[in-house]
Amino acid sequence: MIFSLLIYASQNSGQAEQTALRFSRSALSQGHKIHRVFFYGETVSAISNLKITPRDEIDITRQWLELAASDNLDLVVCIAAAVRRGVLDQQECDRHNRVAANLVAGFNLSGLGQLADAILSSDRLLTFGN
Amino acid sequence: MANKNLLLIFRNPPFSDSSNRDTLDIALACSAFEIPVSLLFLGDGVLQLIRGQQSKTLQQKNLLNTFNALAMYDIDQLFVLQSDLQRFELIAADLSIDCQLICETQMAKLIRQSDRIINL
Repeated sequence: MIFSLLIYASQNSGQAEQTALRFSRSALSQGHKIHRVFFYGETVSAISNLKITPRDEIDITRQWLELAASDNLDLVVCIAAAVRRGVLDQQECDRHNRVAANLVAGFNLSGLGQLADAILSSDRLLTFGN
Repeated sequence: MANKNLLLIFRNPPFSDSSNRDTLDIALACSAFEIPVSLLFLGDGVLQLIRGQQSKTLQQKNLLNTFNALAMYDIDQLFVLQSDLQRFELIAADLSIDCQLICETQMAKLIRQSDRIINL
């Protein structure tokens, strides 16, 4: 089965994103496909190179990257949600004339059209919200 | 690509968090991709449709302007539970946009008939 994930929860105030990560690992290990993981809303704040995760805690953003490397995941961050929260790639940094880009490499900024495509291209869309 | 329809559920009151705006943005984007979109205003979600809201005093954007423009995006399947209106002592004329008033059984059918549901 082809899944897409919509992740909406704040990384710091709940475990929905961690549940999404565990679901992804489990689905992939059982031979399912994940078409796209779309990060939207408050969850976007954490996809920043400026975030410091305490040493004895798990950095979920890094874990997404590990999963993406092993299973070729498409990690898409909503561009409107990102820029309003100060999460910029180099292109947005240049466009808005800011001092630095901070989007974690491996994640891509794009529009809600990527969510629409995920809806059309997947057998299931799972939302991990608040 | 198979034609899939999408149901978006608004559950939160106006000006409470960003979920209403985020859900509305999904509606507009998906409609632009020719995905048939229906909107269900459930529970507190119905409150954001009350006409005449003055959001300027809160220094917030008024989503009513966008709700009123939904027809331009070919989004005309809007649903409100009759029981929610009664709960808030509202009538259909209190709402800023035309919605179909449905009962719980019809809502269950609407959800069953939807291929994709997003409920932020």
